[in-house]
Amino acid sequence: MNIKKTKFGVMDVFIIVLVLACAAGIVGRYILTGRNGILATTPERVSAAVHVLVTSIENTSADYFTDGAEFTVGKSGETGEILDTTIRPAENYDEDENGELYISYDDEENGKKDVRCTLIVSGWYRDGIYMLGGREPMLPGAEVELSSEGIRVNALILEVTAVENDLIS
Amino acid sequence: MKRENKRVITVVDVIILVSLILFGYLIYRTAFANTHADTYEIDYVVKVSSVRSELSDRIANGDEVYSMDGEYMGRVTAYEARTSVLPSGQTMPGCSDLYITIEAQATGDGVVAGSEIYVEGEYELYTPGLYFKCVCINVKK
Repeated sequence: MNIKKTKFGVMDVFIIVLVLACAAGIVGRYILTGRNGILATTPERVSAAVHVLVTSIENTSADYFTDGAEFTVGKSGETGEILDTTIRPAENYDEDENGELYISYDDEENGKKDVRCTLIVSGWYRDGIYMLGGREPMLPGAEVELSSEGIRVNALILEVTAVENDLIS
Repeated sequence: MKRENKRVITVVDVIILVSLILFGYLIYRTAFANTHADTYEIDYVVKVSSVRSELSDRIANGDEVYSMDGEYMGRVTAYEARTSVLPSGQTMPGCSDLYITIEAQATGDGVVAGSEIYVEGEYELYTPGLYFKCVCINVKK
């Protein structure tokens, strides 16, 4: 019987070394820089005050915005506590007799409302940008969804300021 | 008679060679791509329409501009807030139109960080102080 002998050559060693190096690289990368890696730095969680404006919501919906109420902010799942709520008649644009636009306001009792409030949230700063849930930027000018039991609205972010943790009860 | 030891290039050898060349190329690209690319300076002006006045001062010269993917899109070199005018010609009280000039390094045909910058192009950008949706109204290469 003719048995073909396969020789273990230099190239085989080279391939094995290459594969092992790749595997070591992947494992090493995880160990060193992965989320729980040796070199991974966990940024410190910082509380921030996110000032928002909710426009033209129903008169009755404004009642959800009371100081101390909790809302889920955006898609991050992070919740924020509401402070400094101001509820005013909703702003509208109307035309005068010359066709110029002017700001008018809804009826105080029955009209729609604009709500300004501050949400105290907890997140991280990454490259100078405040992030909720590690990936949702909180930027003035952007809209963010606020939701609580039975209500979901879009809010315009007006300002984001870091607050010292020990100031929050 | 001793049989001649013939060396034949096999498929495996070819795969190894191709893999090595590919690895080398990828390493080269990762390490040197940006330093060797032909970049040039580009100035582009974007218009942000109808920004609430209380947000219109949240941008400043020198601010770094990023795309929503976090790519660096340049630096603000000039900035102007004008009264917001609707297409109908009516002015919008309480709102401003922002004109922001951004200086960036481009490659190819006005490509900044993978995005082609062109007049009428619509972009979502942010600086550390402001997020804005804008339309490009001027490009100087």
